[in-house]
Amino acid sequence: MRVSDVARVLESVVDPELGIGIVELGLIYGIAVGPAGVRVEMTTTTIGCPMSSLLMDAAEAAILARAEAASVEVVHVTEPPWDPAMLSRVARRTLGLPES
Amino acid sequence: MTAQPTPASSPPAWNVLPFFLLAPIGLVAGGALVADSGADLDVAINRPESLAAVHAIVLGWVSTTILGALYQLGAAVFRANYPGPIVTRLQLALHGTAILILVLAFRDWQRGWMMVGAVALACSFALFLCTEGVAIVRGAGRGLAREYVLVAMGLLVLTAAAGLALAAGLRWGWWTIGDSRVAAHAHLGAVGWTGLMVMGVSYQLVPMFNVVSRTQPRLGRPALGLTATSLLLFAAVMWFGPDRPERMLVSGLLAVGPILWSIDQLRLLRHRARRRLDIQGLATVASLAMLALAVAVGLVVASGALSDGSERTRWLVAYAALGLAGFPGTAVIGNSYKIVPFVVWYRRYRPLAGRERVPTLSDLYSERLARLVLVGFAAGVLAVAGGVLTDAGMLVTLGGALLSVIGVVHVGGLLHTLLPRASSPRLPAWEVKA
Repeated sequence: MRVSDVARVLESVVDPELGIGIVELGLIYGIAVGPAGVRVEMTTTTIGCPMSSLLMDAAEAAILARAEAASVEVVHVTEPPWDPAMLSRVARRTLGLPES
Repeated sequence: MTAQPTPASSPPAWNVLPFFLLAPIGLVAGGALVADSGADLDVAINRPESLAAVHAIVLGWVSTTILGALYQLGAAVFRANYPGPIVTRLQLALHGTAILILVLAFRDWQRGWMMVGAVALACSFALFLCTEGVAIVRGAGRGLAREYVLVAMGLLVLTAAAGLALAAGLRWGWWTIGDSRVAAHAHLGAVGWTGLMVMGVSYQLVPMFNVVSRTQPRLGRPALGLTATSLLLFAAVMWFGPDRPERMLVSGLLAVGPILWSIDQLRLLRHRARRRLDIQGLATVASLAMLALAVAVGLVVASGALSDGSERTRWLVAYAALGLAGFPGTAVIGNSYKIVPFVVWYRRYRPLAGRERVPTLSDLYSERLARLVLVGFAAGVLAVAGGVLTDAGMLVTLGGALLSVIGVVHVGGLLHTLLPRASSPRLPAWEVKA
């Protein structure tokens, strides 16, 4: 299993409030694949958002179910803070932000 | 895994949803009472029908929704222990019964039943404060929203105490019940309880739902401190010495906190990444507009520029419509279409998230219906306020009838979220196994 495989799986995990994938939102800060399993570092758009744990659980469930990882660790990170500059072009369009 | 707030300890969905689904009955009843009053609404601020309508809307609709929201947000956001299903069911039954008694007692001017309703309502709020209130105090959550909620709960005690004193005064004639004492009670409830609750919850929900990341609230604590302090001063002056010259000063001071809060909310909204406002964003803007109108009308009343008699009464009734119903009502509509879909989504789809395609929250409710409720409610409130100010009884009747109809549509909009949904066609393609 490669990092790109995990990234592809994470593309299907959607923030249920915004209706945008967590990869498109720029929430994934890092993916590491090793003998021990998969480690994902991710953030949220707002600090203190109750959705955080939902998104992290969904990411973990998606990797376990579809990337067949032995173990998955999803870690919430707050540095650097999330910024709209991290949004993909599709996400910007969905939110109504200028694409450039 | 995380120290973040989590909905994992949220109450079961059917312990929270009945609060939201039954509360709009208060709006339906309140609107009908206003429509029935029509041209007579501006005869006096404390007419039986007016008091019945105000309590139906503020306690029946707004407060019942707030109670349900706090049982949900307490666990999910403030990390408070949920008191359990017996408490929430008892709460809803007690609260609903108390409001029914109180509203009917006001309408028929039955002083004995007013006292019974007031005591039952005080018991309902005491149950809430001793269970959910204590849980929020003990909860691990921190932050601005929680501080507002705690102060609002403290002011709820004073509101209830003033209400009981008024009911006892009416029942046994122990003291005089003047407009000023009614105003003290009304402001404690409208500004201290529902107002601070709306303001505090906005500090949690507005950044979250509108994706605000590049700025932080700056005026939250000054707004809270000023609002609470000036409210206590205002209530004391109105209760104990309404003829004192300080009355005008404290009335003006009372507007400063909400104005600071409004500036902060506008700044947060200006920095939002979600540029297309959804129902919650639109409702926030509408509530800010209602608050601005209420403050403007309230300052005109407080200025002493109006002649005593019917002109002053008309402005007071318009102020009540905008401040007691318009401001919190618009916010309640916006937040209801976020909290109810989330509660349903969490119960029904959360276990499947990540494993298969599931609907998004916006798939669970009709944005068009939600906007219709918001616009209809705002139009109803403005029609009542405008009708009273211009002495147009037909407009007041139409406004009240519209509020009543919107209450029914609102229940329909919330029930709509309970329907089963397929996954959204807008979601990313479901990837093949890696």
